[in-house]
Amino acid sequence: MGVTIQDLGRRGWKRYGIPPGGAMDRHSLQVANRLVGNEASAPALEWMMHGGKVRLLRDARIAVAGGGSIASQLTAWRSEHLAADTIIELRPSPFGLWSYLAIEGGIAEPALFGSASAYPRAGMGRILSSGDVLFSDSRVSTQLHSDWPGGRLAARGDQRCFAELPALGMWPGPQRDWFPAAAWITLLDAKWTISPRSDRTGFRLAGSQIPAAGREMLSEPVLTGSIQIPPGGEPIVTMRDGPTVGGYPKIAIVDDESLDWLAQAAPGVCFRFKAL
Amino acid sequence: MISFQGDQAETRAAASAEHLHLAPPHRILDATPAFEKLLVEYDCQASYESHIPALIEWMKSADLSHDPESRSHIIPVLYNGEDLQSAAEQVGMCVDDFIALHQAPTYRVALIGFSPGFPYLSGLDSRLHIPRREAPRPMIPAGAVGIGGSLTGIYSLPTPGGWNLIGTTSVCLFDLARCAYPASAESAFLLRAGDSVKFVAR
Repeated sequence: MGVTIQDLGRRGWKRYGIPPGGAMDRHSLQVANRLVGNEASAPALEWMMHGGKVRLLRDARIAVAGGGSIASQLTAWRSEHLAADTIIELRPSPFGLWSYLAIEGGIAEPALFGSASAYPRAGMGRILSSGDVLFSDSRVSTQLHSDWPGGRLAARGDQRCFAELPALGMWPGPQRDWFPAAAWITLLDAKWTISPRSDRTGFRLAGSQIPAAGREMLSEPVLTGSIQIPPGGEPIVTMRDGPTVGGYPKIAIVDDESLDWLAQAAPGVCFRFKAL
Repeated sequence: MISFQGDQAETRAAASAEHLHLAPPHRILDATPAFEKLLVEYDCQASYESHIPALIEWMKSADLSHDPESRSHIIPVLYNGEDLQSAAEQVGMCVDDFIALHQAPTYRVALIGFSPGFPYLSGLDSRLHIPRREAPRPMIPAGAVGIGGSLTGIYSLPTPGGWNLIGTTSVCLFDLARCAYPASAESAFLLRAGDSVKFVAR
């Protein structure tokens, strides 16, 4: 995983096996975009708990929101007008995983199947590397800002700290009844963390074991946020780039807004679920 | 999730998905068919329950017994897969008989998923049903033809996978170059749920 361009993803292509994709933490992407006057869905850079540097080739209004990285030159959740040749350096932080760097105008990137979001495993977009030059798309900006006095700060309620996560809401899954009552109770009582074998396609949960349902099923379409229980017992949460169909029983589905929080669960940070 | 029952359930599920995409009712985000099921996703700002009666009425009135968009495909296969020999042994027949039985049916694309353009084909002769491999391979090339349980399919992209590989095809199931302007985005995909497929040995 590395730095990629993400927006709010693509809808309407699951029947061809194209996952919705888009920002792992949709909330933070939208806040970063609004801070620089963009439409909430404008393409931005998604950094995964990374170090890295970005140099501005012209004056620009920039904002960083999310977690996992701390930017020099910028305070998170606040936009700044930065001069050409400014180097923004991102350093890993222990809380959160994904940071969004938005530039006024959004990043100009061709849309495939309705979105600029990268999905490199299918040849859509790419993982960015040193030397790549990106352009912003002034058509995406919702207003002109040349006369802004200074930075804009996100509303307090929009700023998030990922040292601790709130209880994550979840709905019963389509195969909830295949599991004994004890399995549901374990899901709600346990303190979970994400296992290292987690990425944009799925988060594996560590901390407890959910006994397998003991029944097999044909593959069926899967909603993002579904919690599948494979025979091994380690629950897998389908994330934004996850496969569109699956053959493991789904005990629950994480609520879409709670998924933005779950996405920011750094290794070692505990969280719990609550039933909706 | 809508389950179709009775005659032609798979055809009607696939046809419904296409009809929904051609003329999407209000607030529908996506419609994904799989076997006899159809997952319809709504924008959850709206309460979806209020839309269900309209959706059901629409489905009753549409002629879903025939999918006008369904196409037939002939897929040439070189039966030279790494697992072909062991698969034939597992089901107790010689390789030639195995190949003949794999080519015999006209398969239906029950769903596309696992990766973009990857078809799950229903209609595999029950004598060829083989469970997925215990240890998946870290990389299977695009074009590999495989069997997993009661299904057969074709890998559309290089990915890890656990199916038994019995052959390869040079036909491309997913190609972004095909959807360059002025072609439609759907042109990137060779197959769609509801299509039929026949394998022919090269």
